[in-house]
Amino acid sequence: MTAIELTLRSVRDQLHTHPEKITDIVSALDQRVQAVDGKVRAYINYKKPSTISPIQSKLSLAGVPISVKDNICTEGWDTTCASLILQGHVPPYNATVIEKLKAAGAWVFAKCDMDEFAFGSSTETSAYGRGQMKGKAGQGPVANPWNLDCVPGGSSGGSAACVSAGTALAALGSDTGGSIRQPASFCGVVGMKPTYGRVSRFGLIAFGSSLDQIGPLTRTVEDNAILLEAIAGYDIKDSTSVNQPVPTYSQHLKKEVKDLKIGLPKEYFVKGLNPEIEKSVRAAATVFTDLGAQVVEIDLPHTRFALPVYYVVAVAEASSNLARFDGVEYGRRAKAENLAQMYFQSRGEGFGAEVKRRILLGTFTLSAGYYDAYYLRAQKVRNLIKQDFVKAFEKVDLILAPTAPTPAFRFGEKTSDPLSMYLSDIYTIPANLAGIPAMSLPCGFSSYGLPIGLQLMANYFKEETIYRAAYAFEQATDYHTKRPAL
Amino acid sequence: MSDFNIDYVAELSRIALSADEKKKYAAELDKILGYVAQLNECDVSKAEPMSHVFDVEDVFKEDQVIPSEAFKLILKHAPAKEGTYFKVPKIIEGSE
Repeated sequence: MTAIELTLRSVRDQLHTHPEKITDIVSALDQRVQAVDGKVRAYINYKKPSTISPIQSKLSLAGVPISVKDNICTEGWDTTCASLILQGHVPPYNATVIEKLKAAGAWVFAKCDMDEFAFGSSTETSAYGRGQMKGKAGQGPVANPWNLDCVPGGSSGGSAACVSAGTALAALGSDTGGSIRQPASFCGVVGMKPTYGRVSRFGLIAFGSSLDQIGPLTRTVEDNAILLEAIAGYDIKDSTSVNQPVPTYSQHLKKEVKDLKIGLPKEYFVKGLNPEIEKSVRAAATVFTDLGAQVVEIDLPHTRFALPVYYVVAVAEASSNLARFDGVEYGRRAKAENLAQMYFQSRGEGFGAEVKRRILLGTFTLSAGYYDAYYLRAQKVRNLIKQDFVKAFEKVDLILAPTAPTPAFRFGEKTSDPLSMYLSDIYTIPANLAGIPAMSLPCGFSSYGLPIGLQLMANYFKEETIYRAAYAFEQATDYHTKRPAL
Repeated sequence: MSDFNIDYVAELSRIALSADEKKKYAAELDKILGYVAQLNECDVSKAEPMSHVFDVEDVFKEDQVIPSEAFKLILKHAPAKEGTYFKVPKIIEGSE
């Protein structure tokens, strides 16, 4: 049994009829972790379970192991957000998504590395990757399984890399400005950011509360649908979760897109887009035309403002959310003479450079005298971006675009210039600002053999439409069958 | 942004920064704010600010007593504690 050839679906089906096979599956995954995680370094907390009891159950994910990003609270497992300030923090409760996985019969297999507090697009800001914290199989940041000199993307870089490398069947990540989709595109896997409110955020350590969503990363579209239907749904513990029934996404997958109208936003095919990505994404549009869908050009006129809006709204929310890390109740506390000094020192020592940068920026834009010029104005522009999508979805069912402007880049290539790093989320941020669902799925490879991602966006709560189109595309192409050599 | 004052913002943020860090962040944030300034090119005269994706309602719950061990677990990871309290350094300066 080779772990990388398994799917969530195949494991689930096997365990339904032969629960005792859980031992073989866990061994296969463990062998794969031992063989490649020293090179990929996706996991910051992995231990092979000492005893595995077969579960005789018809639950939808009975016995299935899932890997989880380290900003999702897991009772009894360290949850650190890859930050020194949360070193040794063990939450006394589970995030709702973890409770939902448990209720479906699944269990947490490992915790995945990430950019510190999910601030980043390369997973290089992790305190583990920077060598400040220990817990990884190898020294250094998470590597891209397709080219170990390249980043896996971020911030859910560990979640994307473990799925790509075959050390996980499926993983959960979180997406505030592209943190599921951009690493999914860099690592050649399927990553879904659901509609804002579709999945409970309770127990997700907050970054930008009006933008954050948890979502699945998998090797196939079907696996993704199976995992999302397990974690989605209303939660009384998250007042922004939406009380709407969860469709059985995996039951609606069919190779039928003839009734779909797909829009290509011309503002996404502009200067800065890597020509190989443009070629692959346009070829993907042709695949849909060949399958019978209608592809038309559309306008999203406020697109160019999405990145500046994000770097006001997201950092403002982040600066407020991260005020809670002060060394009082949990996490790391610096030695200090008095309380004020304790706050300053604990935060000065505990936070990495990108976290400090964003807290400072967010604090400034919210400070007296600047609120109207930055935050209020950004929230108005955000509404215009949302209206662009509302109008577009009056005409089309889906929007097809690149996920990222480039394939995976090399370590250190963008770390010295924060703005150039931020630009790698230029195509993913608009969906978070509007709150619509969006997915990245493999649609090709660069001439250097690096994966290219296709982004599909849909109207609110139309995840089903994305899954249907993505499944049809996947079945018509063979990108999802390729595996990194490692 | 000539009026970006790193000392003031670091004070508001409750983050201790070295002199080198202050210099670095001041320069970087100046550049980022310069980029963000393109928002001024967008006509917002007819736009309402967006605070939420959907209309949100307050969620009310009946008060209910549920057994919980959470407070014991929470204190288990406290950096410093005394009894059932979190312990912090002296707050008010002066004689004991």
